[in-house]
Amino acid sequence: MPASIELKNLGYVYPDGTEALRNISLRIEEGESVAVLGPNGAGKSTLLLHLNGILRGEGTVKISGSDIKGKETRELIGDIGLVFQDPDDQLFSTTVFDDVAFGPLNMNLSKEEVRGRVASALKRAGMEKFEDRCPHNLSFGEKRKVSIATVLSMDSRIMVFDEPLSNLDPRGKREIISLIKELKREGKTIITAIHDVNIVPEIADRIYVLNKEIIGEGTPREVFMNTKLLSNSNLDIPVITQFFEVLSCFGYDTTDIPLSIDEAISHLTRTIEKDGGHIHLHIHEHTHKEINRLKRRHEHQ
Amino acid sequence: MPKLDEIDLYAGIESPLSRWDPRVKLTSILLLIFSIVLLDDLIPAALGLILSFLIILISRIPLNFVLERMRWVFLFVLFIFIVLSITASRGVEKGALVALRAFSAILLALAMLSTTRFEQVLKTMEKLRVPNKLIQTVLFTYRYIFLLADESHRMFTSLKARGFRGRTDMRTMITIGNSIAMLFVRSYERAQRVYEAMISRGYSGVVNSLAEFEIKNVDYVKGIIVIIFAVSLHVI
Repeated sequence: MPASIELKNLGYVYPDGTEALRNISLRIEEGESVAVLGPNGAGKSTLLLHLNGILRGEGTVKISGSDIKGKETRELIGDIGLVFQDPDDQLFSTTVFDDVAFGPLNMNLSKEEVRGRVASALKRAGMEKFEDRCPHNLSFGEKRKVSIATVLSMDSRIMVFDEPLSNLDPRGKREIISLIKELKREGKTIITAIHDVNIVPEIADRIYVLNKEIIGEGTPREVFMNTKLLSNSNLDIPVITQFFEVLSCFGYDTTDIPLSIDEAISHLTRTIEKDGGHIHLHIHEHTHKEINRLKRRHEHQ
Repeated sequence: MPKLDEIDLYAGIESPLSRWDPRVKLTSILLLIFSIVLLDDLIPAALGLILSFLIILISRIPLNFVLERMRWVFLFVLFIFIVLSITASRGVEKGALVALRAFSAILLALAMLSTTRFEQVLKTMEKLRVPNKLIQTVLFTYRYIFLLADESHRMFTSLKARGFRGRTDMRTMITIGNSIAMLFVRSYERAQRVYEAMISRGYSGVVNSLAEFEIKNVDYVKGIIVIIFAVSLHVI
């Protein structure tokens, strides 16, 4: 089966001569959820804009095995849907309904089909009561959800999110995270450019670390345990993982260190059951030294 | 800060005008406007103004809102009136004619547009086969002018927060000039991103909507009444 997305030796130089992407090769399987991590200016958005041919650099981009060279972006909307970072870039219509209907109308679907898709996309995004509202008057979180609905309504097989959690309050974040997880369960291929490493283990099967070129790749565990990669790319590890590192200084056994709250719960449960109903922590002669070393390491990152 | 709602402030008022199918409303009132603007005599023009005022009354748009909108038109028309009455032969009559036509046209345009939601106006334009490029121009202006206003508002707030005060010196000029230049750059970049986002959803140069209007008999009746008035102003 061909990969959902396959990039070979992709390179891109901005018109002003700045190099944005260099020699990028990657392969994302059907139904996989992949996070793209990297510092500001690492070329994450630029990379995403190549996936549906908005930007075209050197090298090849294949969607489901076929090269997008010579294909217009609008021929790809059934394959790939891109949610932009700033909802004000995405929402241009005078009503929410019109905006969510824009993609489906461009797919030449019947009126009933368009209406059905708008209704279900808005419902999934939790915005079904907002059809007649003007996007300008919505809150930022509402705009973000409508933006996502405008892409959900195209029902593309691959969903691409550019920083979907930026500028959201905690509740807004949770809503978007559970939507992404739901899409993943349905078997969509998902690519998310993201800053917040705490969320990554929840939504992604695999990570690409980007800084103009791909400097690391692997499962969240492989990437977050790769100390050298982390310090080279200025990446943090999830806070919960940092906390378990602290615990390890107090003698807690951190084999298979947890990366998310869920993993932390089962890790603690396992340890407590093994140790006969409690956890054993203590201060030993190296504790302070180890803690200081840990602190230094995280400050450096 | 400007609110988008202002433009649709009175679109929700229940009146025979707001219930009127926008296609019939826009066409028949536009016809009436042209009819009045083309009048050559004072008496029919005065009747036209009275008619326009009646339509405003029927539309239930608050009169002080109407007056506020008329204020600038009034100043403008006053200027023309004065110039005409001084320079032209039978200038007072000509000036009065211009004034009557202008006031009627503005009143009717207000009655027509204020009772229709802006998005409905756009959809009506679409249904009336107005060129799509023109509709998009209006659409983007409407959608992004408020964003631009917000952005410039934020920019000047941040200038003020850093102690900026508008004076009539070179430094003020330079600061304001730089800010406006920055707004231009940002708008340019935003336009680029909006375009990219539209392309990503299959944009090919045309923006369509699912607008569906239903014309009832009563809509036609209203339209015919207005058109009869438009014609009879020229007959009397």
